Amino acid sequence: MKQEISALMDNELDQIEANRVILRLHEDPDVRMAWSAYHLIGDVLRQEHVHRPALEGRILTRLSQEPTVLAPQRGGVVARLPRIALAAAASLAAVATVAWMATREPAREVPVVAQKQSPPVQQPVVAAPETPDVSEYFRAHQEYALAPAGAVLQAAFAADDSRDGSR
Amino acid sequence: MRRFLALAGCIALAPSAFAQGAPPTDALGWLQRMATAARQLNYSGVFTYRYGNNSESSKITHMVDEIGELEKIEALEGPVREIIRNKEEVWCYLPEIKAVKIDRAQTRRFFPALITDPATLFSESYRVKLLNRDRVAGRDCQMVALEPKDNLRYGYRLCAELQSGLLLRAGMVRGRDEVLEQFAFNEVRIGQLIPRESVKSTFSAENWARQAAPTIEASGWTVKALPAGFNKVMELKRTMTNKPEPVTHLLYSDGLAAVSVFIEPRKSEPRPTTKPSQQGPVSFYTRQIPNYNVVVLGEIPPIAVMQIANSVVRQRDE
Repeated sequence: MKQEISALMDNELDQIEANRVILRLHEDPDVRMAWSAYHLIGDVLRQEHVHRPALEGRILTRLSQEPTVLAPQRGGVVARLPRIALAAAASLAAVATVAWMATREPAREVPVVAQKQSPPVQQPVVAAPETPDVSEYFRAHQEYALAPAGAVLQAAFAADDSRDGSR
Repeated sequence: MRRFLALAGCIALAPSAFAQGAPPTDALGWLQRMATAARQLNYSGVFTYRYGNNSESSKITHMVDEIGELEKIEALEGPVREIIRNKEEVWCYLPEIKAVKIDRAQTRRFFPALITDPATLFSESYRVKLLNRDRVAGRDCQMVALEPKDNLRYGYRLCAELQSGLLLRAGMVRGRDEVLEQFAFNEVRIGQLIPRESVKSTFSAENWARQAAPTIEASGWTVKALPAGFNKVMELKRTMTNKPEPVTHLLYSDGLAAVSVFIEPRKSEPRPTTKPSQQGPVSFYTRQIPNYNVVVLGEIPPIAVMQIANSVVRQRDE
């Protein structure tokens, strides 16, 4: 199985073989752990933690330019969170799209990448702010809050966006 | 044959769904009816979610047979998205990225199945009152108010269809009548036959990326000053952006309002604590303690997220 996981990571399997390994990944926690470990090892060997296609980088840069979250406005007691839930539906879905497919971190929640990926493009990494990323927590919470289908789905997928340390 | 049996099941169930006796005369009876109707009836329709100037419409198809509940929700705006829910799992399909996310059904709630069973649980945190009648989606409905007993949660206005008890509209309100968010059917059919086949996903999801639910894991963290009526729904380990270590996620609910507590390991020096923030129905507050950031957010007032954040402790430290 180890060889097959390695081959899957390197896009060396055909569709049928890939599906079989992916099924195993889905069913077997040990196989998933191996998958995660291999990615980690690969990242460490390459001295990098992140692969980001260009589009994702652009979207994330734009998102990072959105209003800062914790600064109170107009001296009110309560500041406003950035408009991240429904209004940003399209852009979030887009982020989720590229980010999820580009995810290479050892994440137990994301055991499987079924699509053959185009070669990743290295992007400059923006310094990560110290302040906790509100939008990500918001989306994680949204998965369990009362929300319509759209927001729920958005949250479900966007919660995994950009595990790449770019914001 | 299987198809025939499924249909037979529908036929057997559909009439019984209406046989719930005379409409209740008390508010708690109406709540209980809402809880039952959303799970035991066949229905389909379009509902809209609104908060502030935002709105989003979804199509829902819900059916019950001898196997159990099956539900399909389709987003009608923006990218194509689809949810299929059965009693164990929730499958979220996102064809745009050829991905499907599988989650646990027991922790997810969708309109109109907002009221959980038994409805008497709500009387701990809310005063449940019968209001006037109204009309939603062209149908007469009975209004029920849930007024919070403290300032640590918002109120709710619900309207249940007179004949079936199905929830047609649900709004979260602050004070007397400021609606923070609302779900409402625009049109709905109730009690019709719905074959199981029509509640299947549009997508085969073959060769799609699949994402499993986060791991359930005890953390040793707890909230000491949890507002009355709130119970822990779930305790998860999540992998998140920028976080080298997994983040603990505790989820609490009083049956209607939900609040998330995130505990995130931190290596840097603490920063001054900020004020709580608010966006529409959601409040947010972050507190830094030695080695950890505590992040609390949910559909509760700012004062409540602060109270929760300030009382997060590690059990073994006590």
